[in-house]
Amino acid sequence: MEQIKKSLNEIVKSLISEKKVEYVFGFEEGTLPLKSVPLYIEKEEDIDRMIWNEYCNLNLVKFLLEEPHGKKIGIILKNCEIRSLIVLINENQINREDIVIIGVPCSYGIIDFNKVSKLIGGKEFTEFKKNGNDYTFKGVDFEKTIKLQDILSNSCVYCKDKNPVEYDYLVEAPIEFKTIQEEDIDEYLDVIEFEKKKPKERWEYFKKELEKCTLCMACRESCPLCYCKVCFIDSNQPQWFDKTEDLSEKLLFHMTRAIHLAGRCIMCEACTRACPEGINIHLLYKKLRKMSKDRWNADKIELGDPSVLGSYKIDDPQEFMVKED
Amino acid sequence: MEDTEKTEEIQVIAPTDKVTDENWEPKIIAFLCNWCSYAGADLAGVSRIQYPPNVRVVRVPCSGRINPLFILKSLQVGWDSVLVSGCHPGDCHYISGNYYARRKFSVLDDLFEFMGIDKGRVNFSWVSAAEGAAFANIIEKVTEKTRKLGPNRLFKEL
Ligand code: SF4
Ligand code: SF4
Repeated sequence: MEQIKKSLNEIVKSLISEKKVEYVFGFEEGTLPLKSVPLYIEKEEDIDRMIWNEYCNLNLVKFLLEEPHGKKIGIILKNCEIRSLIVLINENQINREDIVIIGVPCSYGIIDFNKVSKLIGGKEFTEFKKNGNDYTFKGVDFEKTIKLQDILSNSCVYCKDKNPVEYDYLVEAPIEFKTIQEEDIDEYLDVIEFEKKKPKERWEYFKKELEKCTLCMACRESCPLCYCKVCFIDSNQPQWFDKTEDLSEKLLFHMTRAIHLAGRCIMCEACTRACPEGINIHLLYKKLRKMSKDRWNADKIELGDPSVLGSYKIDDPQEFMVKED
Repeated sequence: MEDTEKTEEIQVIAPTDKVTDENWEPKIIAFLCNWCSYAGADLAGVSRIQYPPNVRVVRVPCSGRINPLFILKSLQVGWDSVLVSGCHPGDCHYISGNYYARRKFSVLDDLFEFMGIDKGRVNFSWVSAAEGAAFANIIEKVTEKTRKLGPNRLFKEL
């Protein structure tokens, strides 16, 4: 961590002092323990407030969408976030020339607070201590030690490439960085496991999970790829959505959102981490990513690739069509 | 002048009985593309081919016009199943609309499967303007499938 911090500081400092960018997006310490908030680094003094650690777990790419084109902006990103930036560049939302990517190789990954909160029984912690990979959370009437692997975001558990694929500056990191789990697991393991369940169980699972959804839209707001000016759910001409608490509405929203993200979702899991109800909503999108791989062999995203639903092959599989006999 | 005959007709077909599981008949909404499937349905009619009267047709310019949201919304408001039909691959009036449509259909199909929802409720087919008999056959199949699945309580039981 120290080495990363040092290298990061140097890069940001040179960018700012040489006026190569107008500002750099990074993180600073939040007001609650183990929370980070986005930071605009405009002046050299701001660099002291910058942090970089395992709880910098927002996807900053979302903020780039609000910036006007033609402005040079620096941004500090991990590989999953860089992938989302690539999708946005491919979709002509952002110009590659406007952005200076400072890529940071990931160590183990980032923390998912929903997992922490589940493990400490929904209680609020006011203090935490870190000792190697053990995290001790302290609240009013409890104290609990949790291992890092139990609270890592799922995206990091299944993450395969932790080194930035596209960058302008690469932060130096110690080479012994690797994944936390011993054995090599499949990138889509959770989806594969889930698919093994019976249809009834799967349906019950989604029903139970979506029952909890309050349609707060945190998942949409945190997702860098949800950038429509008017979301179909907010549109009132035509009004697709009746704005009630009915489960069918939630299903409609989440299924449609999943379709909109089909093959585009790059598995940063900002959505799941943002959900205040702890719903693993990303499972749906991940499934559709796996589907693009199985059906169209299109699960890797590179600069210049067309979007999955905006392209086709003449011989795409079509076994699901109803045929006459 | 008021068309009295027409008013009467409307009154006659207005539903009088409450729909119960016994007298329930599947209701299928079919999105047909203007250039092939709609013409195919037309041909079936002109050729007087019999097929179940359970289907209501919405004409769309191209199967590529179908937003998966139309399909989900149809199911939400209570249609028992949905059929989307377009030109055979390669025959699209707009050259490639049905190829894009096919990708969207596969997404929807896999999503239904994954969430454990009966897949029979969404159906996709290719019917050309010359295939009146094929159209009738597909409607029969979809109606049978829907009849087996029963009334759409998918979004209602929730
Ligand atoms: S759907 Fe979730 S995991 Fe996918 S890109 Fe959006 S925030 Fe990231
Ligand atoms: S963040 Fe969670 S509760 Fe909010 S809309 Fe998304 S799934 Fe529902």
